[in-house]
Formats: sequence, structure tokens, C-alpha cells
Amino acid sequence: MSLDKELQALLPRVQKPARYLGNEWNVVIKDHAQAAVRAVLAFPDLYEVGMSNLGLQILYAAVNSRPEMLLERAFAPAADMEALLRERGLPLFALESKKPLRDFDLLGFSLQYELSYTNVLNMLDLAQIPLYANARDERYPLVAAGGPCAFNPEPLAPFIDIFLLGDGEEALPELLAELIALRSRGAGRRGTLLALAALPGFYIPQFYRPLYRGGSFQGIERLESAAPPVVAKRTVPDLDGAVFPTAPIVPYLEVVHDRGVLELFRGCSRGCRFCQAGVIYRPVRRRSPETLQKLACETLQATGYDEVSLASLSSSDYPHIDALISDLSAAAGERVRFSLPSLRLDSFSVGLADRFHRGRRGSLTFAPEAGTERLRRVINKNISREDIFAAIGAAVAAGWQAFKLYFMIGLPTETHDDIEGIARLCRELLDHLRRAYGKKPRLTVSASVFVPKPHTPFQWEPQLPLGEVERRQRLLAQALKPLRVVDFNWHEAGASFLEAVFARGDRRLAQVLELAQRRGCRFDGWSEFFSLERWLSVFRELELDPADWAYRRYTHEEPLPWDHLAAGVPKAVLVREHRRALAEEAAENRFEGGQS
Amino acid sequence: MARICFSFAVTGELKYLSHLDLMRLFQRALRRAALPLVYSQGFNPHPRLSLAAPLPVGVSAARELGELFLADDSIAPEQFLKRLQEQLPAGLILNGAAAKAPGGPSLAAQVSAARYRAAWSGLTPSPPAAELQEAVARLLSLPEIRITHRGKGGKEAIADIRPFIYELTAGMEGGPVLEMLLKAGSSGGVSPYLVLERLEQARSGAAGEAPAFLWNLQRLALYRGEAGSLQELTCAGA
Repeated sequence: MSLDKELQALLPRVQKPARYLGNEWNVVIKDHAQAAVRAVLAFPDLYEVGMSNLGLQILYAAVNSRPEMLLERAFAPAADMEALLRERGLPLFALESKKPLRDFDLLGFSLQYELSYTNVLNMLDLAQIPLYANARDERYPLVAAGGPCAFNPEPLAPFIDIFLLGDGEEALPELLAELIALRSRGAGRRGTLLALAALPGFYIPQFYRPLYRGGSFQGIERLESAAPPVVAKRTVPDLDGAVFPTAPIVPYLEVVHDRGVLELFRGCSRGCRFCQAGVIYRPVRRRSPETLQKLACETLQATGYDEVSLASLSSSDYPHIDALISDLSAAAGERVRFSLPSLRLDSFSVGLADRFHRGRRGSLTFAPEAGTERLRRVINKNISREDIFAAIGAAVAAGWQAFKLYFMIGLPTETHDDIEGIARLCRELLDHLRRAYGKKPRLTVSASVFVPKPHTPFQWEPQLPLGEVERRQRLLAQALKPLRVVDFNWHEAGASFLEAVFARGDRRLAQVLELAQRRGCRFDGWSEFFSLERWLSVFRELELDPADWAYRRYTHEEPLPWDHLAAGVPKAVLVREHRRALAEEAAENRFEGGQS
Repeated sequence: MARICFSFAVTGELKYLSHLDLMRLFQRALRRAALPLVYSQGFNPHPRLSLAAPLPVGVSAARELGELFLADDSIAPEQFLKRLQEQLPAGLILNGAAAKAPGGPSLAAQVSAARYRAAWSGLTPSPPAAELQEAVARLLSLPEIRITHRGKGGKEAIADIRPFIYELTAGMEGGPVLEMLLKAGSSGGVSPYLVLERLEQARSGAAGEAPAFLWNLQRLALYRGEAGSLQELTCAGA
């Protein structure tokens, strides 16, 4: 039986067969025999998560718009499908052609979050491709990876041939064009990697070797002169001229973000010191209103969506955003809704959300991040208590009935007073809303755990130990308890701990990932699958202590495992920002403004 | 305002879509076709579109029915068919459409029964025809077939599905084939999977492989009227 036929027989036995059909609206099916290079974009999470990722749709369009290239998709199969594939010895396949992943020329993973790393290894394993790059010969595809985690990919370095730093819509087609050219010259696997190493944005980890002394990282040495000392990220200079997927694949299933997306701009000028996205997507590049109008109309025509999300890291920062939404609404007609994914905490943003809202005025979401003005100065999220009151007051006056407030626990310099400050802020806010408007809206407080991320001013900071995080979560829960209209959600601290380990990890963690995958770790970002105990036993078995990565305060002087990867903000600027943070000073212009 | 009834077939892998998936698919296809849709009132307006009866996941269909309202009668049924078909994926095939009087009961309110055909999938060796016929006879001879299901409020309830099986026959057409006529619609009904599951129990004495794996199920037609005087539900008759 062909693989396609074998898979057909599995579909009646899985819970959501529609994840594996690969014939959705706007899918691109190309003839393998006609393509000069064949690639798969692998998203290491469920279909519903991966299909909500704009980057995937951008890359799909960027590659498939070229006649000589072909890009298909693969997602992490759910547990039921994985069990069936393993039971029958069937290889993981690409959705469009149902061909095994190992038959492609390039297999590229999207690295959106650290807790998907075991899924990367599991997908390689299911694809019957050797995990380690040095165990793969010419018979296997080159394995690439890109996305935010590629800015410190060291825990995955031994498994991956090529990391792509930065924007992919030009770099991925360029990589595939190189593969075509190199193959016609008979370059071979090693020759191909050597040639790619010389191009900007491509990091070939096997050409670098980390140095250790007495269990501590001492820096990285280059093994090939073709490999640059520092790999620069790729940046698309002009988004108006860049590819945008106006005919994105429209899933049958209800996916996490089940709507059209318009990317207003890339980068962010806010300069929040904990935020990695704010650094790695620099500089700020905007699409013009004319381009956005054209893209919106094309997208609606090609998809039939009735909602379009105006996406970016901080959409209300788009100049004349109100005029933009008015124009888009006028062009799209009254049946189409434009939504803003994140709201800045000010009256302008509230007014904006309210003006373009359709339907019941349910819940608005804001992220004050910290409970006191002092701590907000530390993280450079410079909003005052009065700003918050004014913004939410305006929303209450407009009829909004519920608010979600996002905070972080364990930010640098945080004290118990800052934790109690969250409850104080909620109480004073509720008092204010009752006095000024006679309203008693519902508040939901959501507290995640601070994770120090590479390339941010807080990259040297330790994460708060697990026990202390849990103590502060309880403290906050208690402080919020007297406020009966407040719901409190908190994140699984164990998952954030692991995220911190891998975010700042080096290559010694590769063996941890390999063993964790063998021990059954999968979908670690999903609380129903995550098991801290299983992870800790893997670390114990390898005689490694995860606390060495998560809890240690790194010094400004020591080499960092990602020093050879340039995200755009020089280390000296990050050091100065870090010092200013600890002194509770505002960011310097060099850091704010989103310039590189 | 114009009301249009349309008939369609669900073939190939599209049988794996759920009712909600299919509804979303039609809504998006209708918007792509730029037809003058009529929207519901309320906080979350959606196109006034409905399908006669939800199709179980994994079941293909020959003559399903749907209906919708358009703002005016400027679109002839043939034009409607053409414009919508262009926006549908391969596997979803429109059979016909007819204008309908705006008043009158909805299709969903009229459905009272459904006819299914199950063909052996061939994924496992097929049982002998005689064995299958014997199992059918045994199942139909039962005074009652009790099932537990989740009733209102999530409470477990016991029901007898025997009266819901109007017809059940077994035959051979290259392989084993079953045909069943089952009660369906808003006043209650039974899933064809449940009948196949009970049939498998009657045949082998045990809960076997999942029915969706053993059989390829297809819904042949929907009916209206009382048991005993059922009439096929069609756009012309509805």
C-alpha cells in the first residue's frame, strides 16, 4: 500500500481527522517531479496552533509563489495519530502530498517557543530521520530552523544543520535557490553548508564549537573560516514590497486564531526590558495605509473571512490607526470586523477598541505587567496608576463589563510590596470605578512568571526559584481574595522554569532534550502533557542541574552562549539598559524607539 | 428577501469535517462568492444559512440539503449554483437549487428520518454474508436495544433505540453492504455508528473495531413525514 492509502486507513481512527487532510482552501499542490527543490515547513505543535501562525502563511506564500520551488506543511501529530504511525512503522508525512518528510530536500522547523523543542525531536524521530546532524548523510534532507528561538538555538544546535536568523520571507527562498544552484554544481552536504555559512543570516552550528572549563561556558570557537565570527540577522527593509499572503490557507477546523491577519508593522518602539520580541524584530518597519488597504481587500476576497486582526507587537502605535481602521472598514463593508490583538493601556486605545467594536461589550485585555509604578519603571513600562484608571474608566463608561489584566511574577528587583501592589492596584481601581461610574466590573488577573530571555537587558537576571514563585503566587491569591469580583489565574511555574532553562541554554542541554523525547516528553507547552517530575528525572539521570541555567545571575563580563548571534542591539547597550533598570531609570533613546 | 434551497454531496476526505466545519466552510464560500447574504440580528450577526441535518463526522453524503436567505431575488438558482460551486473545495458538489417561499417550516424542522448505506471498508477481512444477515436478524428481533447516553444537563440517561431503526438490511455487492433507514431530526434519532456498533456486537459477541474503521458510511437521503409514510425531503418538495 502507498503511504497515502495507509494514512487514509488511519483517519477514521483519530479524533480530529481534519488536521491531516491537507486540501484546505487556498492550499498549493505542486508536482514534485516538476520542482527543482522541495521543502517542508514543520511546525512543532498541533495543527490548530501552527495554522494560527502568520509566519507560516508568509513563508508558504513566499516559496510557493516561485514556480521552481515547492513548500508543503507538517505539524506535530496528536497523541492518537502518533501512536498509530508508530504502531505501523509509518513515517511522518507532509500534508499536501502525503510524502514522507525524509523525501524532501529541506525540512524547516518553526521555533516559536522553547517548550516545543521536544516536539521538534519527536517529529524528526517520527519522520525516521536521524536526530543528530552528524548522523545524517546525503540521503536525508537538510534540517533547518528559524523563528524567535533561533536567536539562542544552542540547545538544539547538534540536531539542526542551518539556523535562519531574522525575517524569513526573503531568506528562505534565497536558501532554496542556493540549494538548487549548489546541487547543480555537485556541492554535496558539507559543501552546501560551507557555502551557506558565508551568506548573511545563516548560522551553521556544526562550524562552531563551544568551549567549557570546569563546567562553565567559556565562549565559542569557529571551526571553519567560512563561518563568520558573528552571524547577523536578516531584515526585510521594506514591508510594502515584501510578500504577504493575501490568499492564506483557510483551515476547516476552528484554529486558535480563526480569522484573517494583516500585519501593520514589524518591530516595536516601546523598549520593554523583558521583551525579546521588542529586540529581535527591530527596526520598526511599517506597511503604508495604501498597501494595507489593498492587502485587506485581497485577503477578504480570497478567504471569505468576516474578521481581520490588525496584528503587530503594539497595534495602537500605528500612526493614525483610527483613520486606518475607518478606511479599512469603509472599504470592506459593514459585515467585516477589524480587531486589535493587544491594547495599549491608555484612553486613546480604549476609544479605538470601542469605536470599532461590534457586538456585546464583553471583555478588554491589558498588560500593566507590574503592580507598582516603581517596578514598571524597572521594566520600562512607563504607565502611571492614573493612566490605568483613566483608560479602564473610559472603557467602563462605554459599557465594557469585564477586564483582563496581565502581570508578571518574579521580575527583577520585585519585592513583596510589588506583589501586594497588584492587589492594591485592583482594589483602588475597583473603588475608583465604583465612585466615579457606579460600576462594578469583573476583573481577571493573570500572572505569568518572568523568564529572562537572550538579547534583552534582563538576559543576565536569574529566574526566581520555583518555591519562591509559588509562594508569591499564593501571596497574590490571598491578597486578591477579599476582592470578590477578581478572578486569579496563574501559570504553571514548572513550565516557566523549563522555559528559562532552555531560553538561556547551551549545547549541553541537547542530550537533555534527546533523553526527554525518549522518555515521552511532548507538547510541553500544554499543561495536560507537561510533567516537571519527568523532566527533573531526565536532568538527574544526566547529572545536570537545571538551576545552573535558570537561577544563576550571569555577569556582564562572561561570554554568553548566544554572543555570536546578533539580534541587532549591541551588548553594550543592553548592559547600560540593565544598569538603568536597576537604578529605576527610563530607557535611553538608543534602546527605545525600536532602532537597531 | 429570497429563500434558496440547495442540495449537495459530500465526497472523499471532506466526510471528515464536522457539522460546524461544514457550516464555516459554506459561510466563507458564500462570502467569497459575493452573494447578497442576509444576516441574523443580534450581537454576533451571521449569515442566515442552515443545513437540514448535521452529518456525523466520517460519513459522506449523496443528497444533503441546505437553505439560506438572500437579500433579493436577483440571483437565479442556476446562477447561485454556479457562483457557489466555484468557491467550494473539490469533494463538495452542489446537485441543484430551487427558490422557495420565504414562509414555511425550515428544512431542519421537517427532517424525520435518514437513509444510510454502509459498505465494508476492506481494511480488515470481511465477515461472511450469512453471518452478517444472521446478526441483522438477531438485532432486529430484540424487543429493545438499550443505550446509555448523556441526556439534558449532562446526566446519564437510558434510551431504547430499537424503535428508531425503521429498516436494516444486509447484502453483498462485491463486499458486505448494509442499508438502514433511521429516525432522525429534532424530535430525536439515532446515530448510524451506534447501530453499526450494536450490529458488530450481535455478530461477534464483543465490542470490535470502531464502526468508522470497518465501514464506509454514506447518507443517501433525508426524509420527512411520519414513519410508514416517509417522503424524501427535496428542494422541490420542501
